[in-house]
Amino acid sequence: MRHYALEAKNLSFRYNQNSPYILKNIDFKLQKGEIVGIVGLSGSGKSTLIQIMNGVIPKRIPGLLEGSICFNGEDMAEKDLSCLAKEIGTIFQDPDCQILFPCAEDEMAFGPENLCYDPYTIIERINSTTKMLAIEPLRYRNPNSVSGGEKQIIALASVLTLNVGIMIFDESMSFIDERGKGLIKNAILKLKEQGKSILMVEHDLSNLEVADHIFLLKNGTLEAFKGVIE
Amino acid sequence: MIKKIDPRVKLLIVMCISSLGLAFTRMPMLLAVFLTGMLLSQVLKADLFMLIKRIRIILYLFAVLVIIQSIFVRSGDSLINIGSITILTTEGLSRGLAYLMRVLIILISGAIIATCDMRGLIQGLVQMKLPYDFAFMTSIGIKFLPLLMEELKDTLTAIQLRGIDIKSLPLKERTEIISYIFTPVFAGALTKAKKLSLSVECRGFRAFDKRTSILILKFSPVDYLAITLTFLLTATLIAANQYFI
Amino acid sequence: MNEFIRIEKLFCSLNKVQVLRNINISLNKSEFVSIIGPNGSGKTTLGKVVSGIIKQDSGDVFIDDKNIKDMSLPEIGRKIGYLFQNPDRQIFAPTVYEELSFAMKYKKTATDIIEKRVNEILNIFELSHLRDASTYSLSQGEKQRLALGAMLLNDPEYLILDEPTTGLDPKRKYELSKLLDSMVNRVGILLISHDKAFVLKHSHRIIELYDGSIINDKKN
Repeated sequence: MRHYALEAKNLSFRYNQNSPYILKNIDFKLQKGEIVGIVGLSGSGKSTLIQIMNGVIPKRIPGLLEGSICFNGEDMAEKDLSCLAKEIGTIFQDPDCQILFPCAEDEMAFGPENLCYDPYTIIERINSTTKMLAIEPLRYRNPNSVSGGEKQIIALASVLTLNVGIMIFDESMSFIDERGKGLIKNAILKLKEQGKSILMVEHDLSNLEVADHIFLLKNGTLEAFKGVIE
Repeated sequence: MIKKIDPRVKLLIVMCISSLGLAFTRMPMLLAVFLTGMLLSQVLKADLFMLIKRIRIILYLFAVLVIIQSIFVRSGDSLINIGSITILTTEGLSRGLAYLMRVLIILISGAIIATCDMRGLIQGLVQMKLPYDFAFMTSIGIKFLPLLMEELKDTLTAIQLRGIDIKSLPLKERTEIISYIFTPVFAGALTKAKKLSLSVECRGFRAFDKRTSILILKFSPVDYLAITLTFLLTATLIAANQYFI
Repeated sequence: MNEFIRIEKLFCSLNKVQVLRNINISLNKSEFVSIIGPNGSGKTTLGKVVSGIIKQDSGDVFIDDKNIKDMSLPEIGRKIGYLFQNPDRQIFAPTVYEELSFAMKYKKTATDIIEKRVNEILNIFELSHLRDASTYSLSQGEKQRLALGAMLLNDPEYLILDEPTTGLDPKRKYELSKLLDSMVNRVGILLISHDKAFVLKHSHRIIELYDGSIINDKKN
């Protein structure tokens, strides 16, 4: 049986008994090798949805989660956050909260080293990732002394080196200029060709032009997206 | 060549001079350790000036401690008197100076460590069989300190750009403003630390007990030479100390 | 032609990397000027040098014919309002009201005037309902409006806005757009942005930076 990369069934979420629902009855499927975009205004529940999709909720941020969420047919609730790292990679919004090391190469090596990949494989992955994103000149630079956009591309590169099957982009183009956006969109299309499944959450519709399907998240419910948002 | 000295060798050097600094009690020996440290830090191209600039504020605290150490020691001949009250004795002075020497030796050690790049240092500690978690957490802690300072500076700048001349305000209002800043800066640092730890976990940190590394440190002939020299120097200093006694 | 800011032969480096090379610009108060350019081209650095946050290597910046080397940060702040890319950096009081009244309180402004002016800003920036809210709980857009409002209470003659559209959804962006339109006749504005549509919509003049140098400077 073919599984979905990500599948949410009747998902609802609120922080506690007394607080209102942030997400209500969400049904969502991400097929393998597909790019799905979710668009929504600030406060529509986008970040919450992402944190559920990558396991941060409820594993790190507690709350009342109803319904089920699976990746590649496996129940997410049964997996450890660190083990999910082998399957799901997340690029967050703020590069400052993702970068640890004073050298870009070390940053890119961090993830695969954690997952015990062979050093030669890691170096090779860094080579191909820097080439794909055209950031060879940044490889030995200090991420803290490059611009915000370049920093975000380094953050993306350090998730790409994990070589995971499912990638989640959490408004990761906010800090990036047109050229950088172009690079990232190209990279996303290449990742799709490689058979990866991609979920992009954005408030800017123009960043979602590479998506196969787009959903609109509004007041905590997900609907198929038609036309333009006011 | 010097720049590429193995971080483990630097750790060894630092361990030797700082433990000698703590073990020795006599002024001439402490001075000898201090001078050796100075010499080594220069050979290793440590930036002492930069370090002093960074920790200026703490230096005042050390100065106060040196004075307190000196004043509270009552033994020895009196040097400075006010009326019949002895302020400073010979013993007090030598204790104070010894304390100062030790602080300087620790500072030099810090400057030598600062010449290592973070990655090399972590790897050095790991190859010395320290758990990676520990090495990693320590280095992240070290990373956060300058980050906090930077944010404090930014917020201070923002306040001044609002047209408030902090320097010309009376002390009470100045303290009020400083206390204002601390809350957002620390709250900000905390939020950032939380997000950072999520990103780290999402990249598989602690997924397994082991991890691989693209950097493996290997001793070069220069490193072996440096290790030998360090042991020789340490032995000489210990011997000299024995001879003095 | 009431020139307000003049930048002459400006060079600047950060962490030993040359960021700005020989920048010469003259800006006046009646213009809405935008600086565009890819990430890393030196846009933000230029804004920070002009507002005295970063010191240049060589060259001069004049505000109202006064060299900023001879001005303190508060003096510059009274002339130029600088909006940081990340509004968290410039919001430090616990509540919205305190944030807005903060500077006036230390400048010994009379209480009734503070009250009046803060209310004015709360209205313009649609923050009245959040008057006593904790600044920590605000959304990105609200934080930005608050930072902008606090800056305007300083009566600056010129505003430098660093990437103000970052993190704003289309609705908030539209609101910011309206707000800038309403301010454009009162103060000069220098917008630093890579948001093309936003820049084209507002600017009288667009300056393009590439690798630390001006490669284009034209009327829009």
